[in-house]
Amino acid sequence: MKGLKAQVSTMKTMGTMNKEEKSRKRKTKLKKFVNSWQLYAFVSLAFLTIFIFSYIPMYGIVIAFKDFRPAMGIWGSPWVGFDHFIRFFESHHFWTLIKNTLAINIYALVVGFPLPIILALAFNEVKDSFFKKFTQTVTYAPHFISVVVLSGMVVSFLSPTTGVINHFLEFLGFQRIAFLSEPDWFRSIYVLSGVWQSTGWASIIYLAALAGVDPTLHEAAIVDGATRLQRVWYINLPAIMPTVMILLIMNVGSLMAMGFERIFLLQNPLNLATSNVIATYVYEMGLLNAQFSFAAAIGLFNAAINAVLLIMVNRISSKVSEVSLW
Amino acid sequence: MVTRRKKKHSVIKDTLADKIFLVCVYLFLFIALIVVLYPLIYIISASVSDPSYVNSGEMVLLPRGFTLEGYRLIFDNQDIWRGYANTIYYTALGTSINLIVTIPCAYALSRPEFHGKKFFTTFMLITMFVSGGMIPTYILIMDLGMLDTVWALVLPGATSVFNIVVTRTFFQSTIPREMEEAAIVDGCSDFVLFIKVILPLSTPIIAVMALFYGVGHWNSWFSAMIYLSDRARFPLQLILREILILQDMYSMPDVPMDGNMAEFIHSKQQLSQVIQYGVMIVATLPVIIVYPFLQRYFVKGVMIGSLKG
Amino acid sequence: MRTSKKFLWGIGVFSLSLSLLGCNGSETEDQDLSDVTVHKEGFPIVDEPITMTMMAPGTGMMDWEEMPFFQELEKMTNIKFEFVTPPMTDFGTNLNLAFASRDLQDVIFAAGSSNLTRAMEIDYGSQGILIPLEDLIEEYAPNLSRILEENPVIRRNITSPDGHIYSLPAISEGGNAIWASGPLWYNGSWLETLGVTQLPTTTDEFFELMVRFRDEEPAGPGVEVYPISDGSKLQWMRPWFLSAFGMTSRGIEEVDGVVRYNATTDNYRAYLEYMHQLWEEDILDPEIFTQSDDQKKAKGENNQLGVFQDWYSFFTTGEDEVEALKNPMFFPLLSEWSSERVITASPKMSTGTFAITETNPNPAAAIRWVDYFYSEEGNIFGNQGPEGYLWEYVANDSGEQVRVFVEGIDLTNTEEERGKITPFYGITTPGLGVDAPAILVDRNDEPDTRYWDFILEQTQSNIEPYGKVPFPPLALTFEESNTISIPTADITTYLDEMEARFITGVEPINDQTWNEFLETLEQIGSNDLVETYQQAYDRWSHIE
Repeated sequence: MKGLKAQVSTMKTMGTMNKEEKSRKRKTKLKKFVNSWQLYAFVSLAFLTIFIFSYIPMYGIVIAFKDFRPAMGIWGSPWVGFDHFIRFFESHHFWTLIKNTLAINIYALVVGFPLPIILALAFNEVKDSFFKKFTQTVTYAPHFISVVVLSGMVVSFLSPTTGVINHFLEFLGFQRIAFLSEPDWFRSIYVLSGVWQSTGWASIIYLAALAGVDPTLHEAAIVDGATRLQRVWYINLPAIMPTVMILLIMNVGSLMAMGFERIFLLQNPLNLATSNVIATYVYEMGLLNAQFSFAAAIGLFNAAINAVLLIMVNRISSKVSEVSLW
Repeated sequence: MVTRRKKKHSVIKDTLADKIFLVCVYLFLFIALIVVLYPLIYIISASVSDPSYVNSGEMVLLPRGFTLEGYRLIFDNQDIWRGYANTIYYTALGTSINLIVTIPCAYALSRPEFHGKKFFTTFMLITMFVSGGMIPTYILIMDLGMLDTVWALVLPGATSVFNIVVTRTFFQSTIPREMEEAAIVDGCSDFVLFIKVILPLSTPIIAVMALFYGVGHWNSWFSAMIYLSDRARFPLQLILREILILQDMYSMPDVPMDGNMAEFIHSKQQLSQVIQYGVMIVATLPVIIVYPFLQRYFVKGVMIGSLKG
Repeated sequence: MRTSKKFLWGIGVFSLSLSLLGCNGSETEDQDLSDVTVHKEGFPIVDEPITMTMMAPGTGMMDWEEMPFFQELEKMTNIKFEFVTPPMTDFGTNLNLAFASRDLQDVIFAAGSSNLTRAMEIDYGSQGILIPLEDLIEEYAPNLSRILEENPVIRRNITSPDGHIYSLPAISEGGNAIWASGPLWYNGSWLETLGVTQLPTTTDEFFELMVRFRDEEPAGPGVEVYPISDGSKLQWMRPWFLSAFGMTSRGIEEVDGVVRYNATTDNYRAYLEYMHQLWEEDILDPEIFTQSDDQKKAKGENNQLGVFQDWYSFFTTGEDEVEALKNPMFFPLLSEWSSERVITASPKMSTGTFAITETNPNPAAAIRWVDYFYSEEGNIFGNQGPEGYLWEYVANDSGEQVRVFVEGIDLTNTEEERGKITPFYGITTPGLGVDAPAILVDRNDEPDTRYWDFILEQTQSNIEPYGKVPFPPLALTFEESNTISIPTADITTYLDEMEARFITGVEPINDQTWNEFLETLEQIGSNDLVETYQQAYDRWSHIE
């Protein structure tokens, strides 16, 4: 095990390349495959479950192109091609729905993506103490609050007559605002309540990544006279950059998806201009018939857009930072 | 394996710039604390307050009209306790399966020379966008005979592509390549390398995955709702959903109203007023308590400590 | 190497167990019941015990096999049920899955028309997954048959376009069965404070009263008041105001055989202008479109509301029944737009409460079982459960048999107790809904019917004479459902948004905006809706 110990102290080393090249050239490709059978074993369980539970049911995707009548089964139902998609595109609200869904999600990304990173970096700078533990626990607790209770609180806090926020505004000398009655406020309300709920939780993954940063780098930097801020910027941030980029790619890849419940609970007739989104529209449709096919078509539509976005961002990321999904 | 290291006080003192920086950091964290803390205190207070004060907005921070009625109703409910037991079981079983499936797989994918890498990654990523949907999955579960069993709850979700990718990234950025290569040169098999070297180094990510998967199981109700028919097997969240039916009922314009229905909705409304906050606290407390135990794995430097050990 | 072997073993065992699970499918044996005699009247229904499976929405109160209701019925009828009861809020999803995977129970009970929609009935019925019931009703359901004879309208309503009946209705004949929704109530103490003795009968009079509510501090000095407020975002309150302008619904309505879409009429514009005036004059609660029902009730309990909607006024005000007697019911208003007083009435029935699937081994027995609830006795049985659990007969001092609560029943929460005994709680069950006899606390109590009498009397004077059902609850064909589904969803969203904008003044109401509004409605498909519903209506009026 001498080879191991020799490598511990530095992250980057030169000079092992030659050794590596020689040992690789010695083996044939087939031998390599056979010798790495263990890695294949590692992957096998995941492969199995994904194959069984995600790939086998995939035939259901045809529902989006059929007029699914449960009585006839998936294969027996009549084929309608792109009818459902066209019906969706022709809906009076089509562009509004797309615009609202994207606007809200992009807003959420811009505001909600950097915050957990900043929070994790901040926690990392603070020495262990009760304050640190307490604050960490408190900031991720909102993740567990149910959608119903959260929406109830939001509606209650924002009430123009009895809400805390308006009392506070009045106290500061401002006028009361009927937040929930104005479409312009809706996006902020939705996004900020979402950020409030998820930031602490999202910072956990960055904390774990920060735990893997080599302290000797910091020690060396201190010796060189770097300030804390510089150390954060030049050591911590780059160390977690792969995680950041991966999460960014994944988040962009779900830009069209949106949970239905929270929007539905915060929606009201006055803010429909900005709160009417694809998810709630599908729900309205489903109230009349069990519109399986229609919902499936819209789901496919969303997934297609997400896929395109993901591939685009992934390509950009791999060019800019060498981090990519593939 | 994890050694608690005392932080060595560095001989060089913080400069003025550092001090200002630290003050800003503390300030930022403090504001974050307050912003998050207020609504949480509100919930705790609301759970022991008279609902009419809560709804009229008169209860702002501290409880008003103190009452323990909500908690009494919750603790009297046998179904909730049964649900609790079920959820603990599903979470433990499910998370174990998740970890066994995810961690080795992510590690294998992080090895650059692994041939199956590209194929398998694409294989996984496709499932993020293409899905058969609820019906074919249900039929599959039915055909596998897993209906109304715990397996329908823990097996289909055994692998989360998102989690695999995140774990893989962790391995790629924190496990030194030279170490792995040195081990291989030394004749170490992948299994031994994984168990003796990689796992001890990956306590942060294992802790995170345990948390993510665990919480996922803890909060889940949808799978249980469609696959379980025996009420005795319902997890906690599903039982709570039975109790707090309010929002769904009131927003369904098609529900034919008659005297009985109106009385029913009214009494359910009264009930949920009193218990909805308490219910959330009761459902969430165990997870909040577990976190500090996992948090010590996020202490920086733990990796190096294990390395030298 | 040891670890790798263990690993392989692990995988082996895992896959083995997975395949073993596949051998798990034990089906309940289908009993061969072709020669079981079903008695056409009386109990038991069959001589030898039989078992059927039932799918129904769970109310979360009690496991259904533990409910005394089912246990007693089993003894009476010799029919035993096994239950699948998903939570009621998600019942629709589970029902759809059951149909889609053909994993069905024998009977679908209390699904309600929102879960077992007319469209679903037609679709599954035409495929034979749901069996036609009309012949079975004739032979084995004397109670229901009699009701259908006396009310041919009901028969027409429950018949599908192909002529078959696929689900049984819930029919209400109680004192307030005609209510389509909870009525509007006036705050009685405010009326008293202001010395009002006569309720307004026209929109002008109503406006004057609201101004008085707003100005004359009816709740005491310094108390902030809301003359009109609502917690359903106007959804349940709207019909009461629409009626003042001659409409019983915002959308489809049939008048003398002609179907129209009310939102396209000038009556609707008049309604909007009136409501806008109420908004401008600070009579409507500024939060009327945004607040939750809880917030509205909180205002009600603080005596801050003048006119509000709820099933019984005390639900909102938090008073007890006796105090609530002083809150009078809204009297339908007249305006220059309505030629006669009218108010939305309920068709007093709903569908989807009982259906029989293709797997059922003995449909005749099932029909006889459910027919019991169409008799008065059966319905009361369903409502209050069998004797000895919630109530029991006791002779009072005058020698009459009265119903008294059983010892040990929590008197502060009789509804919850009831829900543990019978499934007739919170779900739309089949049967004839009648007013059940009172259950007393003490055998010599006089049942306190003051509030109920008040309700009956107010209903008789305010609603019965003017009630009109906007459109019969008929069944559309599958094609018709498909035609209207997108326009209906689109129009509802558009109307919700525009109505709020017009009323709050965000969008002014003038000829130009009104024409744009009408054009958009037409664009979305209001004409298609009218055509489709007219067609359906014409077909419906010709059913025997």
